[in-house]
Amino acid sequence: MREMKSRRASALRMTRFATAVSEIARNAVVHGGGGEISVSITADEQYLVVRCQDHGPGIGNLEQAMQDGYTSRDGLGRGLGGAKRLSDTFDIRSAPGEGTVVTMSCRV
Amino acid sequence: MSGKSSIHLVENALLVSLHDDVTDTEIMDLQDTLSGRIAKEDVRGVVLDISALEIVDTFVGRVIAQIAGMSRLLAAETYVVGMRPAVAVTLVELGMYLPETRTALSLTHALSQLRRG
Amino acid sequence: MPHSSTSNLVKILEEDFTGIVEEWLGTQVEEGVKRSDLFSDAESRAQNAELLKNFAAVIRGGMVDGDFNLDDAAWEDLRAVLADVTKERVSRGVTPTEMATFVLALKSPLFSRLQDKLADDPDALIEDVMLVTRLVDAFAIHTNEIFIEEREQIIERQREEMMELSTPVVELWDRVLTLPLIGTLDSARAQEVMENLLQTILERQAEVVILDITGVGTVDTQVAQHLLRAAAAVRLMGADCIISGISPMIAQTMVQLGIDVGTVKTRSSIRTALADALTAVGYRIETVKD
Repeated sequence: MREMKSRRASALRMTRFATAVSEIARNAVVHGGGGEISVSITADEQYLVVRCQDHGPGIGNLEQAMQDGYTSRDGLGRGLGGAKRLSDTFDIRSAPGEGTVVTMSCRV
Repeated sequence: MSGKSSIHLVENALLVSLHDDVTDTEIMDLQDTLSGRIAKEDVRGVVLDISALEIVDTFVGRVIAQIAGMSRLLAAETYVVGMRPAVAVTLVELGMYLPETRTALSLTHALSQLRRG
Repeated sequence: MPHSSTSNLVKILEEDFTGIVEEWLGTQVEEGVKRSDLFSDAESRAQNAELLKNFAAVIRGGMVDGDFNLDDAAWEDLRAVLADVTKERVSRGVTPTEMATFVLALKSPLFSRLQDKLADDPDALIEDVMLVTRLVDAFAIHTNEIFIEEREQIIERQREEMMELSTPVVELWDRVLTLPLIGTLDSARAQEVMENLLQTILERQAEVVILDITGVGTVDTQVAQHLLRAAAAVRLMGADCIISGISPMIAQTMVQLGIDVGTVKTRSSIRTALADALTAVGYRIETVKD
């Protein structure tokens, strides 16, 4: 967020992406039992990239999980699909038993 | 900007101000305290001031919806006030329209709507 | 001998500078690219002279072993003059072909003079002609690049202006805003419109917002989606939203598409919407004369 501010990204872009990151990080903590998060900037300084990895149970049916309304617990099930909509690029890799890695970025 | 989130009695409503980096545990504690005070102080409304929040994700959105649901059961209307434009757009994009809550521009607006009933 | 090439050219330019300028102008007239409708004679002459002067200067000082690189520091002045002339012409509506021909027309007066001077030395003549060709071609290409850049900037500027023009938030009365939407509403514009609108609500502390779609041609599922999301965001900010200008045609389409506006208030005309909005903020419209 601070990085984006210093690059004078618009309030809307910042809020959108920060919310997306918040969703994903929360997923990692709630479902994945915690994990690592790393923030970087692409070589051309065009994108802010956030990679979030957990070592939790993983997601069996990704397609289903990405749909709005899907929830495995008491959520409203808008987290994953919402985070994707709020990011400029979004990539999720997961398999049962292997944890989940989400890489998302936002133009700055 | 940082500080503690707080609950104050204003006229016949409880004003809840959330500070900018409120934690998950804090907001859930707040929900507990709030339900107790709504019942005890017999208020007509709850005003959630979220003007300090730069981010409202689905978790916080859900807590707001729960506060509204709980307040209604205790005969109080919940008003969300001071939402930032970027937060409003983001919530809509997340599909969280918060239909359980009423909204107002500011505390003053919420209080005058409460007075009108 | 590369060195002699340059000196011949330098000599020509020194001996008959005005003559070359005049002939260059003449060639432009012949080729039909001298836009006397856009530039006066004096203006054209001054522009051509300025270019040629800088051209002569770099030939004297900017050649390395008879070769040149337009990007070198020594060519900066000439590049600047070329850029100025090009921008000036773009803004007056000169076409790319006219612009290129304008520069290339410089070849002919230079060729004819070299021919006179080097009649007895065909090898030197060919060498010089080749040099002039390369130089003038490089100018033409450079000019073309600037031309395109300038055009792109104009397009970008106009696009931004259009964006702004098409999303004016108007304060109709205290605490009442209206946003007259015109044309099509795609995702990018919807985003822009929404951001702009919400910011204005905050600044003016507006309580009612009228989204008027009288000027929107068609409402399909996508457009309806954008409108309803805008209305939802307005409500989250704490203001009321009325969508007005729903023609009978649009109402029919919306029903056929199964679009549910939910709790969003809709009105057929901005007139009724305004009356509602004024009531909401505590005003009444009254007739004072009958």
